[in-house]
Amino acid sequence: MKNNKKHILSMLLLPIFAIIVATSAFLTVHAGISQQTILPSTSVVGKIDSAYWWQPGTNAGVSYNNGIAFSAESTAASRVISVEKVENLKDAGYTKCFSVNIDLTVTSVPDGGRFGFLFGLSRQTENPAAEGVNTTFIYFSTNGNTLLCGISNYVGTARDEVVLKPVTNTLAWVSAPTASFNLNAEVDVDGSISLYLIQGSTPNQTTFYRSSTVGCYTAGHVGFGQTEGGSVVKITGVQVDALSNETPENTDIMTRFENDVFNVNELYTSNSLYSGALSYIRPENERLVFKNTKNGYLSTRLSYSNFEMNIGIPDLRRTPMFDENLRLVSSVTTGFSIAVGADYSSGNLDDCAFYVNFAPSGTVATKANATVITIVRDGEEVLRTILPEMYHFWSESIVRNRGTDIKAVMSDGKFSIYLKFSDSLNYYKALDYNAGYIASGCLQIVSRVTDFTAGVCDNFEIGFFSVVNIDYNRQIVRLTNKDNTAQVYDYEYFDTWDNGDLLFS
Amino acid sequence: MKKKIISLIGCLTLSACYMLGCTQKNPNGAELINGKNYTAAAVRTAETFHSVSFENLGGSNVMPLGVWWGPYGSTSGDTINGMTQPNYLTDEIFQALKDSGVNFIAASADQYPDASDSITKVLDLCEKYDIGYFVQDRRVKGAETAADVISLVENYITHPAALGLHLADEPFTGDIEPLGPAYKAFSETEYAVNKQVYVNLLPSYAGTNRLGGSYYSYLTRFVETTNTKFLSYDNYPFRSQDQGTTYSMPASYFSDLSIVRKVANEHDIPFWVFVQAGGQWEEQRGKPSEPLFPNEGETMWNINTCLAYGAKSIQYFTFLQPTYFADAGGNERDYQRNSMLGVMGNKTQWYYYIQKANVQISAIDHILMNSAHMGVMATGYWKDRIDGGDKPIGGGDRAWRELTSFTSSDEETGVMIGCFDYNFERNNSRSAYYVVNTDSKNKQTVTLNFSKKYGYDVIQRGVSVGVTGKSVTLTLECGEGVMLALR
Repeated sequence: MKNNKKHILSMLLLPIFAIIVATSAFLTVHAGISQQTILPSTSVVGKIDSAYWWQPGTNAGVSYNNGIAFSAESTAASRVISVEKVENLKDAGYTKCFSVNIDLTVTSVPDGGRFGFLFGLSRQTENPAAEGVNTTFIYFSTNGNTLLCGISNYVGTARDEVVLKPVTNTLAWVSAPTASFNLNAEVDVDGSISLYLIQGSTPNQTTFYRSSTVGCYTAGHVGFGQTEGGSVVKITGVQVDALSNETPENTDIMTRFENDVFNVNELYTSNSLYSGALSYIRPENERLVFKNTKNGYLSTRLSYSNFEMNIGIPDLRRTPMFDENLRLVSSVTTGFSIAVGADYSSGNLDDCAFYVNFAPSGTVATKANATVITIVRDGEEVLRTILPEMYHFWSESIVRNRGTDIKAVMSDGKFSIYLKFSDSLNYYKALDYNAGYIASGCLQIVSRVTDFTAGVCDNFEIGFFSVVNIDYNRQIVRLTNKDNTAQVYDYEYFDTWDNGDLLFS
Repeated sequence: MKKKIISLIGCLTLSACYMLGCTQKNPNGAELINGKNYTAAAVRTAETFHSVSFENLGGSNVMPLGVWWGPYGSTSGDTINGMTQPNYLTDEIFQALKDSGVNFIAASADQYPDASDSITKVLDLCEKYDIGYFVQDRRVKGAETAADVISLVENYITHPAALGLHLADEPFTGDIEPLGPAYKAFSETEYAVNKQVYVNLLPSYAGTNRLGGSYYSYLTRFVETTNTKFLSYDNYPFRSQDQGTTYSMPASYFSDLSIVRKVANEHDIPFWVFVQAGGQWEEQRGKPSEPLFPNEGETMWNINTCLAYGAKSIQYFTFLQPTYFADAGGNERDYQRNSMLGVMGNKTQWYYYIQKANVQISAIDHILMNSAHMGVMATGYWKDRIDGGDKPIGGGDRAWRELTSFTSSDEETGVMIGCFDYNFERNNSRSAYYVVNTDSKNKQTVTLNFSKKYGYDVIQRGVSVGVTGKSVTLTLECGEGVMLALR
């Protein structure tokens, strides 16, 4: 009968879950987009960082010492190119493509030659000065003491030049042509560009060039190169930032821990044991039970960027337990966290992008005055809210045997927490937090107790757990089912020895 | 008692077989003993032998068969994927231990007094299942007088299941000296009459820095510092699948056996040895499992070569799988890759191999425990690879006392024979031979030729048969050992 009820319940829940998934598909989140540094400023500090830069095996006339120096010995093939590519996320609804910030000194460029910053390179190993390599070039040339700048596309096998900004004297922006100046540019997804050349303490802040119609190349590798050999240039600072499309492959998850198992291809639990009490995280009576845990967690196995996560907490310990000698056996549940952008193999909250902590106020292990939600990022509390009394779900008198349902939503870097009790249909929005970017990674429910006093631990249960991927153009993979209990079995031993070997058998 | 029942069943079966006209001769003419149809072997004055036995394990005829990491109550490590380390202090786990043929626990995660409640429970369960237990109590290392020891151990040492104290494992050279006072203090207590102090020593491959010099000097330093009653050590020869075969065994395996045996003999004590139940321990922590090793033939090889060398106790590493031994990286735990029981209490392949080996040991241990080990003979591959000092006194590579020669079906691989002077009663002895197929991959037949038509108790796979003949041909599975004791 119990099984029948379970089936009926599942039948009822499946359409609800399907509706959540279907609804999610219509959400207009840009989903999966995050800020990515293609070239960080640290990549040219000291020696060039090969994690970010590629260069040909023989890179004539190029050296590195707190910057990238091209010398008179450099050739048309000398170049340094980013390992990462800029993506064009126009289809995801974005307008910005990438920004670049460069400090450089152009000492000389041979007559007829051009040296500059290039982008749109489809392969990092291609030579932008060679035929058939489509790139946009923000270039510099010199004419005596005059520093000139222009922007051109080089197109096709013949390197046909499409002039975007004719070569122009930079004197109005770079008054000391052989001194260091700053190149700052922003490129949008349609190829429009804004270029600033900045020098001195009172720089000319007007754009050197701005166009909303010109079509630069956008997606691809970026770097430095030249059309002829022999440019003498030093780049002392580089930062290129772009939006990155992070739509990790994952799956929608919905489990009520039926039959006391879960799919280890979807979920993962880890619990560090400690002496003093029986401690575990395991499904019991169709709930995932956190029993006397100090350091354990439930995690998704795959990464999520934009998501809607629902957690049902039918029970948590709100009343402490003592033994006959009035020693604390089990405290009120000291708190749990939702970790975002985590690694499934680590339950250390310091390793995730940020986490939301749910805890009773105060430090008394035997009493919960209020329920407090905090957001912690990089070890610092960045947001704190105390739930209204009516949502103080650490209070037995307020909860009255109801479950607590928590919904966490991440959408384009905006993170929200909602709460309700199990007998209610409507959620209360507990907090909003703008993370500023999408923290792609695994999602976790973490119990981490730093008080090692005996009896101070977490006891709570998860009745259901669901995650829906709400990425734009979400990448869903089909996971096979593997019960968490499938790893344990007795070896099947077959004795192959022949009793006919025995004497007089 | 069990041993007698097995022998009786074997004898009854064979007698019935004889009356019913079953095959009476093996290929080389050996036949079942029928009355006095054989020449009695010469009875000699027994050579001095050394064994440590325990009354609560069955007395002087029973070999201590131990395990590392027996059942414990302390929690340790971590668990993943909702799999929870079960309660090990149950009848089910102890029954499994008992059924494996093991009779003592050398170590576990429980330390006294931190885990005193757990240890008390373990001792009670051990008593229920006739299993001995060395209590780990590192405090005793600081004891200087008998009174110190008594004050520390009196709460548990008199428990019927307590075999003594587990003091340390694999001490480095610098750790040996501080053990001396504790050993001495314990020896001055009344407990020393029937309880022992247990320390297990390093193998030679621990390196000279840890050993403080040669392996011989390390062992000698320990024995002479502690006056220990037995010398226990470990050397795990199998490091990967198909590497630890007959032809790729590390050289230290037999040289360590030789050196340990030598030091033990020089100090009139027996030696105990560890056999590996699986591999992939600390070094594989957090890494995916490699193909499992050792296999059944290799496990038998490991056990039986140790017995042929005169070991007076076999210990298995480990009984329960420590949680980190299962850590296969990421979200993977491999509860099958080592130990006799996985973390979850599941039986691994080594449980069954060891259970099988222990049936044989428990049928021959009355001989092994009451014998002086006189040396080994090896042919084929191992002939020139074992220490010459372990060859039998007199005779030659293929002859000792009544045994005049022997051949095997694969002479290239060869066999190994341990030679024993078996004190069968009141310092009277006869010869006994433990024949081991040193091929861990293939079966072999071995023919033993004797100077006369003697009578023999041939004990194989726990079954004892009385046979006679000038020659006896045995068929041995991979790594298998057969005892042949002259009547």
